[in-house]
Parts: sequence; structure tokens; C-alpha cells
Amino acid sequence: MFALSVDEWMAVRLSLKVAAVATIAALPLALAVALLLARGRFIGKSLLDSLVHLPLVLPPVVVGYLLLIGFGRRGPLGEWLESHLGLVFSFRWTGAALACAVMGFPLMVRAIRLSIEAIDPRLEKAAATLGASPLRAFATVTLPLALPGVLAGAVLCFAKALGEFGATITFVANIPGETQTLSAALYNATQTPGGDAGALRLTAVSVLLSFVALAGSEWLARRVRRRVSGLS
Amino acid sequence: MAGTAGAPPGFGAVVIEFEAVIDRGGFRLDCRFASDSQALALFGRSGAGKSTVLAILAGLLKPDRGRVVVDGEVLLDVERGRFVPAHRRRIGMVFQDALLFPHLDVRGNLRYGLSAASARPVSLFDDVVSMLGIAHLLERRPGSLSGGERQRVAIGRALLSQPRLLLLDEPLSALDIERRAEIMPYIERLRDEARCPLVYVSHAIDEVARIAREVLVLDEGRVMASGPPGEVLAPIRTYRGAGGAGAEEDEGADRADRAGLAGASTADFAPVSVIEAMVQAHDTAYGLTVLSHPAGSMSVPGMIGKVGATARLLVRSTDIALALQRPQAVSFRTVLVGTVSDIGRDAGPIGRVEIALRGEGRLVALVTRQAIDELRLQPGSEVFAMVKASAMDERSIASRLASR
Repeated sequence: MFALSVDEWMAVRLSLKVAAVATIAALPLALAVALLLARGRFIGKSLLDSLVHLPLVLPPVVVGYLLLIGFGRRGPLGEWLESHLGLVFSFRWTGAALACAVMGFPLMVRAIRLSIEAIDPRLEKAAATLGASPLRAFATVTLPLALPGVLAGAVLCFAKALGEFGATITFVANIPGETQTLSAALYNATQTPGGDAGALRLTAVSVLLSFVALAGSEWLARRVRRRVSGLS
Repeated sequence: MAGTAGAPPGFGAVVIEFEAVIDRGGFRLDCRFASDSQALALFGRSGAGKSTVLAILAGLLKPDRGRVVVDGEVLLDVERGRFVPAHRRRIGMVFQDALLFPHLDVRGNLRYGLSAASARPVSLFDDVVSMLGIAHLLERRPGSLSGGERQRVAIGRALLSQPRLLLLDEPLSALDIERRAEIMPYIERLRDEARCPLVYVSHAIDEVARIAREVLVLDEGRVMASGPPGEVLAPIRTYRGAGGAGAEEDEGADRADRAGLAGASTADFAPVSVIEAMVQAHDTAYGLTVLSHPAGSMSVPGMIGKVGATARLLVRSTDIALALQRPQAVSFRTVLVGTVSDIGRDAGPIGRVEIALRGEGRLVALVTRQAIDELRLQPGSEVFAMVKASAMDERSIASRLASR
């Protein structure tokens, strides 16, 4: 009753892999965009801000469909990536990771941006008067102070990726062992006669993973506040 | 005014040539000076442009026009498109609120600038730590330090980056009076012992009088006066009238300022005279320090300095009373004899009397215009200046004297 079937295990493992790859791949770009939004002053900043937040408000199916158009085998980006880098997204687990990364991106950028904005920019000026180049000031002052926020953003993105369904299924379908993530497997189970037990088991796994991710994120957020206040 | 204060022996004089114009949205800075002083103070009320001058010196702000040369190196020349970024200037800065790195402990903060600089004496770290008395704080986090401790660590951090010039931007203004008194001796040690000239920004006249060897008075983005603190901080007339800036004077509103009683405007601060006297004796029974000056002896509360040392005393113009004869049976413990050298007066009720003390030194006293007329004070009159001892507490006396 409580043991997961082979297919269910596969879906859980695939979900973890997809979420981890999505989070790690999105992190550097999210960091750069968050820094740009927090510290930069340029024309089109609010446009970039809206663009980053778009996946948060668009129906996931729309995002999935846009990915399909852009990154499908015949899509302009998909074609280029396949012929130049040998990277194929459509109907592969990599596609699921891409969909999850896009969906989790706004959450990650938001968390990182908030943590950077909480840092007094004059600390970077102080670092400069101590002889630190802008790069060194970022690496030794801004980044360490923002680190808990960066980690919290990563956890949020990871959790979002675990639960992603609409964009993924639209973009890469529901292929067991390749693109059938936890949510997709759960959906399958609910559509199958007699699949209730499986659906419940997957639900329990899902609740557990989300809970751990959220608790981790909360713990990290507490550390940001302590760290930025200089008390610990 | 380059060279007016002169560098004491043992210090290589660092020359600053500064020229900057900023004109944006209501704020205007048009400031030009040169100095080779070991301790230059920029004095003026908030908004006078002092901190802006420091930010330009440090490379944190680019003026619209200008040129900055420190120690022979052109750090900024807007016309020629030269701008050396802050981290390559070797100019240290202590900010009003310390700005310690919260994620590093005190040791990490102190070492931050150390690694960036080149070879240095091994003992530098220990020397700075002991000079500032922060050895017991090294493992602490900035958040657990008091304001005074934080500021000392910030000074140490800046010093350890071995700057050729150290800028202090209102380093005491975020502290309460007791903390200020606690830090002041460290800043004086810094001036006397660290081989790095200071540029000190403050709107507090006693800080400036204690620390500076040379003072620039700034108002509305302009240099109103410059020179040694004894002259600049006790002007016989307000700088506003003399300097020509602030053209649109508001007669009624400025009346109190003009009298020197209110500190609302830099140009019209209450003058503070600086006198140097020798510590003669300590009266332990009454808790007084007696100082000798050719113009008379002075009694000051507290045990200050060593016998034979020179002390720099700050005398507020509001704490002086004048008499034509040596006063008898009077509570004032300090009576100094001198000759009136100038009188500054306008339509306001209060005038300024400048007294050349016997021996050396000058005092500026604020007295009512009525008293000036009744005593028939005029240049050449011999007067006795009585100073309330309680007005000259320890805070207004430089503990270490090296003003030569």
C-alpha cells in the first residue's frame, strides 16, 4: 500500500532530477537579472521586470505552448540549438527542465532581488574606498550578504519545479521515464481506473517534498535577516 | 592657503588641490581649495557641501566640472576625461554610520583593506588595533558593538588599507555626547601618530577646533573662509557679509543668526576662540587644572594633561564677559588681560569684540551692542576677559597637544 511502484519511483526520481537541473541552470542568469533589477539604472528596466514576471501570471499552458513553438524541433531556437550544440528539448527530460526553469525563474529572481535590495549599497562604496574593485566588492560583500536570499530563491524555484505541470505537459507531453514527472504521473493515476492508491502515494510524496522545501526556504530567510543585521 | 598650517616634521606633506563644480536641481557646489595640512577640517552646517567634497575626493561622485590632484597624482580632470575610480585612489574613508560589513567579524572587517594593498609592515595590524583600543573586540560581530566601538573599528579598517589620505565624514555625529568624548582622543591620536593626513568633516565647532590644524568654512557649496582654527572659527564678522555668497539675505529671519546666537547657518555660527596655554598645576582638592598664559592664569575643571604640557582650550564667545578694570571679588576663575583689536557690529543687538591677548592669542567675545557703547569699547581699549570655568570642561580641551 505504501510502497511506490517502479513507475512511481521513476516519476519521483525524474522530478527531482528535472527540478535540480532547472534550478542550477537558472541560478546564474537569475543572479545577473536580480542584480540588474536591484542595482541597475537603465531604460527598459520595468520592461525587463515585467518580462521576468510573465511566467508567474501567464497560464502555464501558454508558456508551454510558447516553448513548444520556440524550442520545438522546428522552432527557430530549437533548430539552432540542435544543430549547433546538439541540445534537444522537445519530448526530452531536458525540455521538462527548461519548462520548470522558466516557470521557477520569476520566484528565484524575486527572492534574490529582495535580498540584494536589503543590502545597503553604501557598503559597496565602503569596500571601494578600501581598495576593492567592483567585482571584488560584489564577490566579498554583496554576494555573501545576499547568499541566504539566493539559496531561498533556489529552494523556491526547486519547489515550483517539482510541482510544475501545465507548461511541462504542453511542451514535452507525458512520456513515462522521459518526461513523466511526479505531477504528470499523479494526473495519469487519477485518470486511470483503480489508480487511487497510486495517486495518494504520489500526493504524500509531493506534500512531503514541498514541506521540506518550504521549511528550508523559511529557515534561510531567517538567516538573511540575522546576517544582514550583523548579529550572528 | 597652501602651507599655512604646515606639516610637522616626520610627515611627508600630502598636497590636495581641489576644484569642483556641481550644479543640479537646487544644489550647487562651487568649491576650490589647496591644502597640505596634516589635519584639514571642512566645517559647515548640513547641506553646505562638505560631504559632497569628500565624496568627490574619494571618487564616489563625479562633479560636473573640476580637477582633483592628491599627492601629485591627477585623480580627476573632467575636462581631460580623467577619472580614477575609488578603489584605485588609496584614499580611505570613515562614514558617519561606520558601514562595517555585517557578515564579517571585527577582524575580518579590519583585514578587508589589508589584503588589497601591497607589502606592509607585519606589525601594522597590531599597531592600529592597539592605537584604537579594539583588541578585545576582534572576534565580535559588528551588530553587537556600541556606536563608539563601531566607529573605532571603521577608523582602523580604513587605516589598514594604508591610504595616503583619510577622509572622516561626520564620524561622531551619529553618537551621543559621551561616546563622542570617548572617541575624540582616538581621533587626536590618529592625527598625531598615523602617518596619514586627515580631512575631517563636521558641523560641530568644538570637534573642528580640537582636531583641525587648518579649517575650511563651507556654506552653500562655497568656501567662505580658510586658515588656522584660532582665526577662522572666531571671526569678527559673519562670513556671510564678508564672503559675498548668499546674496539674498533675509533681514528679519537672519537677525538671530547674525547675532551669532543661533547656529542655523554656517556663516553665522557662534565664534569659538582657540587659546594655547601651559598646564601649571593640578588642584586636587578642588578638582581643577590651572593653566598659565601670559595674559593670566586659567582654571579648568578636571585633571587635564601633564604639568608643563601645552593645552589647546576652546573658549566659546558666549561664555566671555568683559570688564574695564581687573574685577575684584568675582566668581570667574579665569581672567585674561588684553587689548581690543577690532569690533564687529551691525544693526543687531549683539556685537563681537576681538581681543588680542597679552602674549599671544586672540579671543572673540559676544556682548550686547549696548555694553559696547556703555564701556566705550574701541580698538586699543584694555579689557579684562572673564571666562566661566564651567564652560571650559574637559570636552573642549585637547588632551594631547601637538598643534605646532
